[in-house]
Amino acid sequence: MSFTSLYVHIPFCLSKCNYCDFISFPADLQDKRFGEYLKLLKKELLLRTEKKKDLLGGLSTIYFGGGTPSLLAAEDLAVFLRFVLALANDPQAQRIEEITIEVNPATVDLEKLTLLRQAGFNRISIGVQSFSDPMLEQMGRRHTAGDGKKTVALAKEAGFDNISLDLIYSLPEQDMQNWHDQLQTAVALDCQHISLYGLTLSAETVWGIAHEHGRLILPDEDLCADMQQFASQFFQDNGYVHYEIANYAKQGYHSRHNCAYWQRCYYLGIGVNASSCYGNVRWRNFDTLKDYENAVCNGISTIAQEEHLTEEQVLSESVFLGLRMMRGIAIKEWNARYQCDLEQYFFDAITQNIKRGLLQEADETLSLTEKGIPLANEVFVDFV
Amino acid sequence: MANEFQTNLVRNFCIIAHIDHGKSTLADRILEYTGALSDREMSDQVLDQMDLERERGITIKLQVVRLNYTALDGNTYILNLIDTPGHVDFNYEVSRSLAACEGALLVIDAAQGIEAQTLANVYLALEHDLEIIPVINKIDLPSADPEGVKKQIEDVIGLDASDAILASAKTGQGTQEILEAIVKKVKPPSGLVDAPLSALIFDSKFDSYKGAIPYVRVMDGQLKPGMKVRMMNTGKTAEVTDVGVFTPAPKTVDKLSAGEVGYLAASIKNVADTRVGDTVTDAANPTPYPLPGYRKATSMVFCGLYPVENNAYGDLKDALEKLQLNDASLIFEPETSVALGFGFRCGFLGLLHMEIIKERLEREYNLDLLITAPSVSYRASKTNGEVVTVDNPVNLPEANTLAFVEEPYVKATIMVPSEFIGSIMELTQERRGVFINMEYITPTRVMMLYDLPLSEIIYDFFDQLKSRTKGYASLDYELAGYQKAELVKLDILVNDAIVDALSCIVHKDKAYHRGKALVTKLRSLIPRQLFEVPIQATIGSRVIARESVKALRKNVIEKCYGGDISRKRKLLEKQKEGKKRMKQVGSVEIPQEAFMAVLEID
Repeated sequence: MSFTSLYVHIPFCLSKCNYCDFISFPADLQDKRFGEYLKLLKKELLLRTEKKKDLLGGLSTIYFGGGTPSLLAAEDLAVFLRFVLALANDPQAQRIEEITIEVNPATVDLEKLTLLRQAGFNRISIGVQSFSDPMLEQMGRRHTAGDGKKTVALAKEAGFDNISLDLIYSLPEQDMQNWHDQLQTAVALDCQHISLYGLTLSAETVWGIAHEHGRLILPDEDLCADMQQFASQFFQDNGYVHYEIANYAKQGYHSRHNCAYWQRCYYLGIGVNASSCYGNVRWRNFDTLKDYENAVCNGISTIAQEEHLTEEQVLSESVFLGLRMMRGIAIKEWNARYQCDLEQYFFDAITQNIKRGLLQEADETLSLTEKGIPLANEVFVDFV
Repeated sequence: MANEFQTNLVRNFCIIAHIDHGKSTLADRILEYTGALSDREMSDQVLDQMDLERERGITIKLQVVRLNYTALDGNTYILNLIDTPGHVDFNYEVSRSLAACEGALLVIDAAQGIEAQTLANVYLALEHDLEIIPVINKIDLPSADPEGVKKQIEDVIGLDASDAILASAKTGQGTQEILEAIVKKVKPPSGLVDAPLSALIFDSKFDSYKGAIPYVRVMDGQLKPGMKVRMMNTGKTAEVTDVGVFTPAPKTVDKLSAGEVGYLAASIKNVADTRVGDTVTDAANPTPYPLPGYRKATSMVFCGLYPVENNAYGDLKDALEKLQLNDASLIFEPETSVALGFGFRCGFLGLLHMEIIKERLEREYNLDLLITAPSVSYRASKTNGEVVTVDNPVNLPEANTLAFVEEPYVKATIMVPSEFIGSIMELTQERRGVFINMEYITPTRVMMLYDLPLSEIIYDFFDQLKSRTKGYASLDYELAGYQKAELVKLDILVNDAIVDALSCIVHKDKAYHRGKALVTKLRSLIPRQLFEVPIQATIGSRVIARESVKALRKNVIEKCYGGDISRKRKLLEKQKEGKKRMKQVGSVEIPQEAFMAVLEID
């Protein structure tokens, strides 16, 4: 048993953003729970590797996500990363290709970023989300557009040469002009990678509730689609490759870690609410600090939910995940890996969607068409 | 013969009332008083057994219960109470209960007074020659006016109200007087125990173990296990395995004798063999005289019922057959729709009845159903002299072969405080009503009579009536023949193809408005598809309204959710479920609600 990727969840944020439905707990910088939490993460890893020594022996990517990992002290993160690398039997990070940390603007300075870079993080994902101050404020973000730009500059100065930005579009009352401006700003920062998310609201968020009661006006479906279409073209015109439904990167700078998800590689998630996948099993850790802590401290399972997928489910996942990548699914490779004939097994779904102009098959590869990208779910439901 | 059944100690009675006048609560008090149920078994509205009845606070099905009551004269009487529905849709069920009784409690709300259905029920009871005992209920209310109500009973109904019982089903006041009045005033059944068996089937129920179980009122003779009986109408014979009474739980007894009410089980598999209204007799010694039965239920409203999944057609058929056994007023026959496939055209007593049947099919039989716009039954005369009955708009003959169309009318009785006369006139005018007569039943309340097209009152007439009169108006109606009208068929085209299940027949003057409202509604109900979907309303080849559903632009999960793929899969599975619940019509997916859109406009 060996994982390709490791995800480390840091469930703390300065405050909850109005649209966020991830598991996170409010915390201050220097919150004393941080140290405790890192200890728990260590312990979870030890518990897991105790039983299976080679668990992290094949690791090639590590991702610190959140929450806001950058709330933690750089020194502590560095110590923890060293611990992970040692467990992975790769203390100099020679085999492990990509080590990412998510950072929120205004939680880091040059010193902290430099320490992180020196500790071995070689990719940084900055949650700028928007370059409009009124929008950031409305979103409940604790930083300004200026902070976002500054963090990018500092990251470069600290030696990061693989920087990603998160951008959200389809924000309340956003229009096309505003979106153009945002994209200009984003591209001008000349980062290597951009993730692009349309705002989706869950019912239990502040915005979700406001929207349900008609107090929040969002761009309609057409405008939302126009924004996405425009952004996609704009990024490609500016030298980015559209490599995954929501992700754009300069040549060679795609996120290895996220691609591992789409390729159904096996990954271990540690920490509160972290998800993992191995073979046909998917599991998720407890989603409260208390339950998680209790499990780790008592050396019992941290798993809140475990799912054993049927063969059909594995096959369908491999398709709806694989098709998220613009390069698509290499049919022969897929057939060999899953011991199944893709074109035969999914004959109806494939033919129907090719007919509808949402899928294409060329050079032994099955992929979404340009039209199929924003309508991917219409395709995917035919495979589940 | 101490244990021999004595007919003179039996009373069969029912309770008739306008909806909400407290009939079910009064029945509860009577059950309680006679000890038919222990306190533990007592829950509100015991006789409303269906979840649906309790949720809606109405009685849909008639129920039967046998009570033992020791009267002040020292005798213990057997009282058979037959509870009846109160909603106007279910008058038919009321008439069936009446046929099995000798007396009726006429319950009138002390604050509301006589309402439209009170009258209709009284007329039904008089038709059956029943002894009527007026009960003025809810006298505990501050606004109760028992003297006024008494006067109404005398003036409007023409019954002697001097003995009217003042009661409160809430507090239990008057319960004993009611029971005494039943014993004293209602005649004992007059049947002969020695005569050949004749028993009237007034209801039936399907039990998965025992088969069809008819509920009977034995008129003459005796019904015992082991007897071979014949249903006089269907000719079906069966051997009786079990007879019993309702306590209200079914309880086996040795026999049912003339005058008694109960059930029989005879391993009758086929639901169609025990028709409500049929006479059960002894196959070996039959009576020469079948009982008159009662008038057949008249279907007022028709609609198509289709399974969402075509392969559930057989299940739907089974379910309808079983429900029909419980509800003889439900009629159905197979039909096919170009858009929806195989289904059934069903006839109902009214819109509420239709909703209830649909809900019961979905709940009790776990079916996913599509229901098409309700229609009344039209009569179309063709130029060649042929007359066709059209209960599905699709069957309206082509305009060039059509001489004229007639639609069913009702005679409607509306009772309302006089301040709302204007509102009623306005409403009935909008609905093409013809004023017949108006009568003051008290200085402040009037009874208004109208001729109205049935099609105009089946949708939202009652709701409108209530909302325009602050809830004070009451309505009753009965079919009153056919009248010619300028009617046209309105077709709906989705993506340039007629969806037959959305067609409706409307009055010419209302066609334009209706067409426009319908396409607007449909536009909001039909989700975006991969291509633009035009929706048109047409009369013949003329397009009278047009809208379009824009093409779907975006349906994608962008967020990564930190590798939580299960969440993505669940979202996709949910979307797939949603699609399954839609009906694929041509290349367009239409949700169930769209077929009912016609109900939600105006």
